[in-house]
Amino acid sequence: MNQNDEIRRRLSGVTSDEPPENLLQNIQNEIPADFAALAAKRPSALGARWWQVAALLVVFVGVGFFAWQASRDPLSPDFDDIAVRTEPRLAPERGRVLESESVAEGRAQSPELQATQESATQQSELFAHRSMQTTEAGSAASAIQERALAPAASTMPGQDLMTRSDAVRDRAEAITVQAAAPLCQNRGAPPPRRSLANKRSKNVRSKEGLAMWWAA
Amino acid sequence: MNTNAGPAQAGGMNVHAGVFQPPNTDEELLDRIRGGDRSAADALAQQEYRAVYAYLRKLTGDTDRAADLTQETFRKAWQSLGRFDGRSRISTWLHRIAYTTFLNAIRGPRLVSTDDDDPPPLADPSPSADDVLRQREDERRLRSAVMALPDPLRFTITAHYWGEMPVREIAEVEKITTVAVRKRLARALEQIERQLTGASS
Repeated sequence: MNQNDEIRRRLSGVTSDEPPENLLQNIQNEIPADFAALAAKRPSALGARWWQVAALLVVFVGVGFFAWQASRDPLSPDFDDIAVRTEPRLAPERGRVLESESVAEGRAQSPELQATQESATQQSELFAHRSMQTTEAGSAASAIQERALAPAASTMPGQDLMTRSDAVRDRAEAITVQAAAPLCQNRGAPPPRRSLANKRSKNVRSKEGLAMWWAA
Repeated sequence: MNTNAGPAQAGGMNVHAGVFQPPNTDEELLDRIRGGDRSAADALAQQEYRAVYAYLRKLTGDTDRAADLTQETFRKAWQSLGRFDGRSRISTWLHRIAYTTFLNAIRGPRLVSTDDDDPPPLADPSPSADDVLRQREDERRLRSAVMALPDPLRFTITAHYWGEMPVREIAEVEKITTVAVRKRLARALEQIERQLTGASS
């Protein structure tokens, strides 16, 4: 038997004796007359005082308010802008602006890239010029063709469809020319910046909302 | 809600007006007491006073002081009955009150008996007077060693060995795990051993 077992045995062996005979009677005599009223004061089911609940509520409201403010912070990321950068198709106009921005940035970063881009631009100009010539030649050819085919137009059922197809082709060529021209002209120009008007108005709306909330 | 079926329930059977009644569960007793039933409070006192007295007797080593502290314990229990949430057994709750009452009492001078001033019970013929004296001396030294423990260890060891509270109930009332209670018991035994070894050497 080790020492701990010996101490356990001695602790368990500490003797007691019978309580005095009148002890129970004394205890029962001391039961207060209003013990039922004392016993009826039950603790709340939550085990919490009302002020603890109120304090918790205030903390929740405070955290919620700051979270709401943070979500409207003008320094926070503009998710519209991010979406446009990743998916230019979502905003074609802005996508074109960002495309020219990235071209300008690339030019500034690499002379080789710049040379390649200049070459590409020259080829684009050449293509545009040829395209215009082709368009003029095509138009002339079409006019000749129309004049040549005019007598038989009423007897050919697909003629109207062919005319429409030519019109679409002409329009596509014109768009190509228009798109190529500004790209050449804007070379080296500072890229246009996005307006801050949207963010400004959002910030003003946030402050107005806060003021209305306080007034309420 | 737990039922009263622990080792501390020596007087668990109720005999009211000569009629045998089965032991009351804590829930039944509390419901009746909260309903204003005076006899339920009497039954509670009858059911628990022996165990509380025995615990305090072992803590104090003195019959009269243990009886006084038992009365004081029940007085406090009636006053704080409304704050009892029923999560532990009534006996566990009463033992905790008894221990607190004992701690308050020993702040005064000479409230833990050294048994020096109590004469040995000469009326008991079975053990010799020497044996009784030796046993009382052992108990006195042991009680001194227990009282020298830090409060958490002291409550744990006295509740377990003298209040006969299971480890699980001590864990509930102390709001710690049963593992922590067992660690406390082990540490308390080590410290008592050191105290006794140091005192004997």
